[in-house]
Amino acid sequence: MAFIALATLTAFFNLDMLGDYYASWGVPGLLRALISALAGVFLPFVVLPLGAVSIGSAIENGTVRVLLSKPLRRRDFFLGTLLSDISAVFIGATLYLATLVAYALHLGAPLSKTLELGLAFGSLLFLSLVQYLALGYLLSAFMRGRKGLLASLLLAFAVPISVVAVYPSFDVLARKALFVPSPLLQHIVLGMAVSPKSELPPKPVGEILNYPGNLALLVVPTLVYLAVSWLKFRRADLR
Amino acid sequence: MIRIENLVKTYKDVKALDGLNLEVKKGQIYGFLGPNGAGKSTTILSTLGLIFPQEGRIELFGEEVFRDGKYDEGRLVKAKARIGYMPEHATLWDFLTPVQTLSVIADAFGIPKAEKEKRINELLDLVGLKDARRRKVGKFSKGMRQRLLLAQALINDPDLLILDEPMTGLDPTGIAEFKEIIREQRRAGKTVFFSSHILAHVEEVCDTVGVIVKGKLRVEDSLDNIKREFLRKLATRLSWRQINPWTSAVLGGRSRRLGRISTG
Repeated sequence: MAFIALATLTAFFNLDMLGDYYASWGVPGLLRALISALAGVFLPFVVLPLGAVSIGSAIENGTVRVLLSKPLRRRDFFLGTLLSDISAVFIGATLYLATLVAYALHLGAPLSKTLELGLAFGSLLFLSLVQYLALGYLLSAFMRGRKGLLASLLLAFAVPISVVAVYPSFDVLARKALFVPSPLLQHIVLGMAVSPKSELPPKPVGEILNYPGNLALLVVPTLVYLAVSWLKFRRADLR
Repeated sequence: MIRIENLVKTYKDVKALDGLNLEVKKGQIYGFLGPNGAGKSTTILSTLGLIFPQEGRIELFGEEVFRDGKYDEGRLVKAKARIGYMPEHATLWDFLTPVQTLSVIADAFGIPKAEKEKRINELLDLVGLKDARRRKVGKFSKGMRQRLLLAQALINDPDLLILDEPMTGLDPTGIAEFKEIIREQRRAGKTVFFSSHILAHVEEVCDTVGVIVKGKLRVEDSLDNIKREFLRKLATRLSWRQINPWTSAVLGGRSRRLGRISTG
């Protein structure tokens, strides 16, 4: 709920800024702003802690003990929790994107181009949101309660700072960052893919996905994070 | 209903269960007594597959569900369908009402809708939460939460009711009502296994008492026999130290007074 509310509110409060981007650079400019906003604010600060406290808090407050004393398997609980979190992320991301696409159309953007880019980048963003969520699950597998939350927030700060430190040049970032398994980097690079800057013109979605390892980076770490979290949870003492 | 053999559970360097053997028979109201940290909750959580002991064997309803570090999840799930469990400390969903909470729990048992509604109404009446049925659980007092936890444990009309320190946080009226509910379970032919560190909580309702100290079952008998044995040992002038491991657990708050008598 918090994610949905924040996503919608931020879209609303950024309308003026997004209008400027659109006026200067059209739909790619608008999406560039959208992706940067999501990458900078929502991913680290909302989705990561959401994942970090999701199962951990159920263990801390005993809900998991109540539920798993019923005829349910641990797998049922893990998947049920994951699916509900993914649903929250999906609803939040969809509302955010819908607001932005509607706003682009209101500004007079061509329908087909807006929908095409909106859907394509929306899907990629969703995959990355899930990756952040999975990273939160991984943290909670090793640190429960406030420790996990604190670690996720530290990570949320550390990732953007390290990105700026390691990649001072956007151009270098665009060429190299896709090889680094960081969801935030993916977003910056995806943002660059529709960058309004002349030296980095908008690229078709197909070409972005064809970057070596790009799609794999959006999916494989997610699966690894979730697999490790599950392996820890299935043998965890739930006391 | 429950058979535990040589159960061993170690948390890092603390041995919580040290070769525990225990049996709860059908129709028994079994009081599981012991001081804090004796291993009561660890035993209960092991029985439900919520923690992983290192060694031993657990049977539920005659089926082996755990052996030497591994649960048979299929058998455990089947057994859990016949168990009601009330944890010692647990928060249910604060944003739900008691009706919604019990509905979620009933869904875990696959109880049909019509039966579910009837059962929820009966249980809210039984635990005295009928008037609070539309309030959010987040606004409940500690005692009301305990009542709701009991209601969720009874939702499936369990053959075996496992209660972990169920009367903690209840006022005297609540404790009396709670004991009456346990007696009702006995009249219905159910089995109840409940833990406490306070003797007064198991008195009157339990037909058998087991005392666990430092992860081992020290004594298991009717409460009358345990008391008689205690007095006999006093009479034979055993030192307080020799009888203390189980008497201090059995006698709870009274142990200090008796201790002074025995040593004075």
